[in-house]
Amino acid sequence: MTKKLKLSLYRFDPAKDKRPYMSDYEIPIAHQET
Amino acid sequence: MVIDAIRTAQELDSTITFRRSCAQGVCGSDGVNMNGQNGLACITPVSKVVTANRLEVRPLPGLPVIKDLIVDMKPFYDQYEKIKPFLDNDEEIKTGHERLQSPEDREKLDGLYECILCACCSTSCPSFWWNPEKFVGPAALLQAYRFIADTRDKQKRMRLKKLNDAFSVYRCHGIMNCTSVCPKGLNPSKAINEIKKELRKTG
Repeated sequence: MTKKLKLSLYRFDPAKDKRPYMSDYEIPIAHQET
Repeated sequence: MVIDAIRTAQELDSTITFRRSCAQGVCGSDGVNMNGQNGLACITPVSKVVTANRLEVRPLPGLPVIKDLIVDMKPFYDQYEKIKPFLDNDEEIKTGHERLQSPEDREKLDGLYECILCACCSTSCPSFWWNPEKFVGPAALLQAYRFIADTRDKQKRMRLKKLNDAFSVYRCHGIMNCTSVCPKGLNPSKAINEIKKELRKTG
């Protein structure tokens, strides 16, 4: 059974970002991983 | 593992940047902060750090961020360099080609030499956050003690002298964050206490 993990990653690219931000992704993961 | 989740996210967004190499807890490249706890993404199961199906991954705290999850390790390596992480012995080798050591003396180095320099411990330490240039930090202090404890090394007194100030060792207040996050199960806190004991002996 596949579940979705809400993964939030810290993002910051000093070349284009003024400040860091968090980016959210929904990642399918195997049941035993949750 | 957490690294698999990050890699899957990277398939969705190829601009995500992170550092990895061996992916089996040996190289120490992928140290990150996962839901508030430092560790290696490659050997940390999602189930160990996930809360309410949410996982927040940040770069190791206390080091300058280069991009996304990649930090500048220079302040960490500078401290490592300070403790002279190599055997210092000018004496001539008397027999064969090696400096011999008894099995008992060799055993004293277990739990010290296995550090992979992932920086999970030092970046979990508030004293390292506040004084990264003066406090040597748990990883480098573990290595400092690895050479202080080595009977083949002849610079024990000099090594201790260099650490004998208000910041290098004594900024450690024993909160043991370092020990609780070490992915190799090492105990930097204990090594720091051993250094403090040696410093008390030598005055």
